[in-house]
Amino acid sequence: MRALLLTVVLLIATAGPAQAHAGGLTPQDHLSRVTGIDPPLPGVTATMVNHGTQLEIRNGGGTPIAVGGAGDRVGVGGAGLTDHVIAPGETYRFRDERTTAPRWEIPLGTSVLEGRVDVTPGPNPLWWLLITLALAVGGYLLGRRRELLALGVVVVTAGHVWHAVGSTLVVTGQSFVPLLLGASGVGLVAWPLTVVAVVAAVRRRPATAFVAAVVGAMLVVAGIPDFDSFRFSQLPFAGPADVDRLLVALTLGGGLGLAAGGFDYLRRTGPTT
Amino acid sequence: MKTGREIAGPAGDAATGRRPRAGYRTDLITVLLGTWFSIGLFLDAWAHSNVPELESFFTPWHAVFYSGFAATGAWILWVLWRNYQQGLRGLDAVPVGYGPAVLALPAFAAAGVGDYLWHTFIGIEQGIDILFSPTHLVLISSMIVILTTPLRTLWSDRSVVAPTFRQFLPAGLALAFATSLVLLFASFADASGYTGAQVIRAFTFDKGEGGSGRASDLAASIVVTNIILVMPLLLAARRFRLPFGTATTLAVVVMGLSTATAAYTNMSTAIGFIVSGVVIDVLLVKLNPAEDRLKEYRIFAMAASFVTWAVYFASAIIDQGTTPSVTEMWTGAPVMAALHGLLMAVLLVPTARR
Repeated sequence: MRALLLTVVLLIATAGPAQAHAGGLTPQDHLSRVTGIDPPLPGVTATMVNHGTQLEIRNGGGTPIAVGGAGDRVGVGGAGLTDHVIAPGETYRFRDERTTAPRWEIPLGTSVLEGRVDVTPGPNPLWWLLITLALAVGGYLLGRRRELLALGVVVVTAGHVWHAVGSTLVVTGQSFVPLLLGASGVGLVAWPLTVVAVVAAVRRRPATAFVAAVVGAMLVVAGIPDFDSFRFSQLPFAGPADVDRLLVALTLGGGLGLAAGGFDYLRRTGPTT
Repeated sequence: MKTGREIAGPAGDAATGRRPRAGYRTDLITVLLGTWFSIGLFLDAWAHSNVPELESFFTPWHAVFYSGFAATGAWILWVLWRNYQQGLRGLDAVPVGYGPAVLALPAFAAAGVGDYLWHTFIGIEQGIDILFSPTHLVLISSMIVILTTPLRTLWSDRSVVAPTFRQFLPAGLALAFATSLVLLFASFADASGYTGAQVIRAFTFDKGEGGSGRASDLAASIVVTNIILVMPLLLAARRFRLPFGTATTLAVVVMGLSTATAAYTNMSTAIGFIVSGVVIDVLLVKLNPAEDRLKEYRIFAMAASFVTWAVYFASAIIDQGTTPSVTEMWTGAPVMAALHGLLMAVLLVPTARR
């Protein structure tokens, strides 16, 4: 059992990240926004998408419109771009280094696209760490009973799924399924194992605690890259940032509690023969 | 058929302190989860080579790779836990052959963290640099240790000398995946990735100029690829009387993964390798190479290497409908490979056991 615990502890302490916000978007304190088109162009709209990293211009007018540019404008593929003409009905999405300036302007046809970068201080991460710790203690206490462990696995996994889906929904311009797959990471294994934990609990199998512990450990691994959610204000998540922080705390704390509680249950109940 | 004792060994093991031996089904599941793990790696390798917009560590391909690792790790923990449940303690709970994998799991995980940090702060490799990144080297080494677990199980069972194909399957797949991973990390000198047209072009040059860079690349690649492909067979033939199908399985797995990373451009070459795998299986049956059958062992090493590269050029010639212009290159390369095969055989078994 000690070798087993040591291996699990090493896995938890060192395992590779497997989940974070989808599409490579990261939490940050700044967010670039479009403030307007001056003078307005009929039918043309512009917005910052993908957590303020890309500019999306939709030409709903009847005439082509050129995005005026300097050499530092970079396309989605990373290649430098020259001026681009957006045809009527076309939506053009690109990354432009100029949108990272505190106040920025980009020529758009006969008008100017204007925007700014808002900076919002992040929350005090201590509070979220304390919430995580409380959830860890709660998860550990679930280890007193097999059924509670299974319930805990369902709740923590649901939190993890919600976080993965929410971070996927915020991405514009990419397919949902590959993005969710990338964001799920070890969730590909942990999510189905949750069903195994429930079935084992219903059948009153000792494996319930083992599966709960393994799923808990995997979800800790899944949540490690999301620590930044506790210290930055702007999170790439389709919903309130505090909800995402709570989901991350649930994944990390609940997962840790389930891992500890599950293995404690195994230690207390001992071998079956 | 002897399949070894299942993981839930008799309680007497606790009293005698003997380590259990993983059963056939256990090893088969280990290797199937390793297949998931390996496919994830090859998908990732394909993405690094064919998807120019990789901006994130959190890609579907990394997800398949790391979830494959998580599934394999969870399964090995399950095996240990089952043995613990049977009353086995400490090392006695670790089946024979599984110990290195138990150590390699956290090593792989640590390298995963390192790889994340590397990709985040140093960048994502998209060329030959991917094969030299320190974190990737630790990942691949620990992965090979994990994947070869079923091979160690069978190897350690001295009662198994002439396994059937079914009995050898988990070990054979483990051997094939390990070979594929080694070849993947030598892909700068992997002749299996060449298309028929590239093979013909490489050995077509003006003799007056003394050769060409492409010819040198292919000649060197044949040497490296031949050694990587023939060594696992020679190694396994020392220990087992290999069943028919071993070489074909090796070729199918290696080429299945190789063609995926080459975006399926080298299909004629892949077919050639699989055909030569079948011929090598016939050689295995006819020659029955073994450590104590030194002459046959060496003939097998030569013949297997020769056949591989003779068929390699034949498939390129059939595919393109022409031969390379420099005859001595494409006729000499299989002979050169045969000599290298002989050298490997002599190194592995320098003299007959007395």
